[in-house]
Amino acid sequence: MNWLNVAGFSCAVGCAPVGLGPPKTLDAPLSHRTGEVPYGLGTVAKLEQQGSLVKVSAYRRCKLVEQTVMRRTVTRERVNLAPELDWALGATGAALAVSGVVVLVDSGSVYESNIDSRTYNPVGPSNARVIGGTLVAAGLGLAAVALVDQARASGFQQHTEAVAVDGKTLDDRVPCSQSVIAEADIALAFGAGEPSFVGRTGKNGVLTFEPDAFIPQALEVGPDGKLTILVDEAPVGELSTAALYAQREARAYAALDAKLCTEPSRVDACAGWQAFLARYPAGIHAAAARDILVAAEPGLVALRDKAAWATVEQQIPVCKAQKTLVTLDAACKPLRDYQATYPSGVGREPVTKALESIAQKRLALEKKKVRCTAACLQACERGSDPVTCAAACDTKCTE
Amino acid sequence: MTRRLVTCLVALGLALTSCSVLNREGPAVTCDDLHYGAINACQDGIIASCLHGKVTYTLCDADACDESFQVPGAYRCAPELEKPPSDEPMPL
Repeated sequence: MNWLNVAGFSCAVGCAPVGLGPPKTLDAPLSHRTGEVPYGLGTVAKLEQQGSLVKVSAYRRCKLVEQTVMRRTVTRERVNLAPELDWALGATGAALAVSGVVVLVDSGSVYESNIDSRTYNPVGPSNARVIGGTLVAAGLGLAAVALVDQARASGFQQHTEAVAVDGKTLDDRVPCSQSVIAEADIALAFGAGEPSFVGRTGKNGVLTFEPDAFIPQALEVGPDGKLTILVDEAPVGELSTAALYAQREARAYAALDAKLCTEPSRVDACAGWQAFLARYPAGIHAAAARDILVAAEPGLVALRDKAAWATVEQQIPVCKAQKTLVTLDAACKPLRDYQATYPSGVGREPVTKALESIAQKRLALEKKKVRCTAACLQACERGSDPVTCAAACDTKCTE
Repeated sequence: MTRRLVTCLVALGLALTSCSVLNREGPAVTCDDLHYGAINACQDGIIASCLHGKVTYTLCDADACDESFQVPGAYRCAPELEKPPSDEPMPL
């Protein structure tokens, strides 16, 4: 028989449960640092703009705190959870062992169990020794269990670790660098407009996108506007529209043809350039666009002169055909406008001649009107209202 | 008081655990004392008799010597038993 097995069996039957007492903690400060501590719910995002791309990294919310790094030593003493059992075993074992010793000592005085002898003892010395030995062994066995429990319950368990003890909070909204949010919904909003869903972050909590694809082209974006980034429907930050503005301005500039404008064949040949300047007056290509329009101006003026002359030329006979001052002034106004706008235009001479002849005609009509008015006023009845009479005469003599 | 109690308990324990308390001693006699078989003697349940000039012992119950049927000099282990062997007839 293996003694180890016996001891194991004895312990399995009689050993008291051994546990750990309450922890005693001893802290020794080692160093100071700042650290992140998870803080509440919510998302914090890092926004990076790389050219026309925006990189959104979504993190859990942390707070940045001052931390003291401590060397923490935790000591827990082993304790016997059922000492009464060991007391009982120890006392019983001691009693048995003492009894066994007594029996052993006494065995020297025990008579032989010889029925033919004058002295007699039913046990006999050899049996007494066996009994004494057995009692001693049993007592020691029981006492051993108590002693083993005593040994098991002695000593302590100790471990040392470095722990960070939080102190003052420096910032209560910083990204937890070790805790990214995957599959977070990213949306983009411009101004007061409805947010547009952009996509979801990957396993690394990152989504890279081009805002240009999510802001309608028809929407006029200025260089000083703001784009709002939303993570899981919560706004997490803003970006300037400067990059988007520059991107769209450059694309619009590239789409224009300078030659069409500087060598115009139509009056509206530079309409695209004008619209470009109106929309991107602060763009990096605005100066170049203005130079092109300046260069195109003489050609455009000539085209406009030509177009205006084509209309005015047809108006000359209409102008000349008028017989009253009112209709004459109205019908000849385009000629005077043309002369004022294009003093050296292609129709300069015919218009000048027409206006000179019209001036003589107008002078004659004015004299006629004066004579007519004087006669009319004389014919007015005595006692009639002079103002009413004058108005009636003016109407009559103007027609 | 406590010391007495402890002492009593220890004494009781020793008494209970000492096998020697079961020791029994028969009468320390000679054949001459037993008139060479004419009588026997009894002590602690052991009867001493003289047989062929030699003292022999018979083991009886521990309290056999004090039984009511005993007759001094003619002890028996039990009432129905024959008298112990002897060289000479026992006197009546």
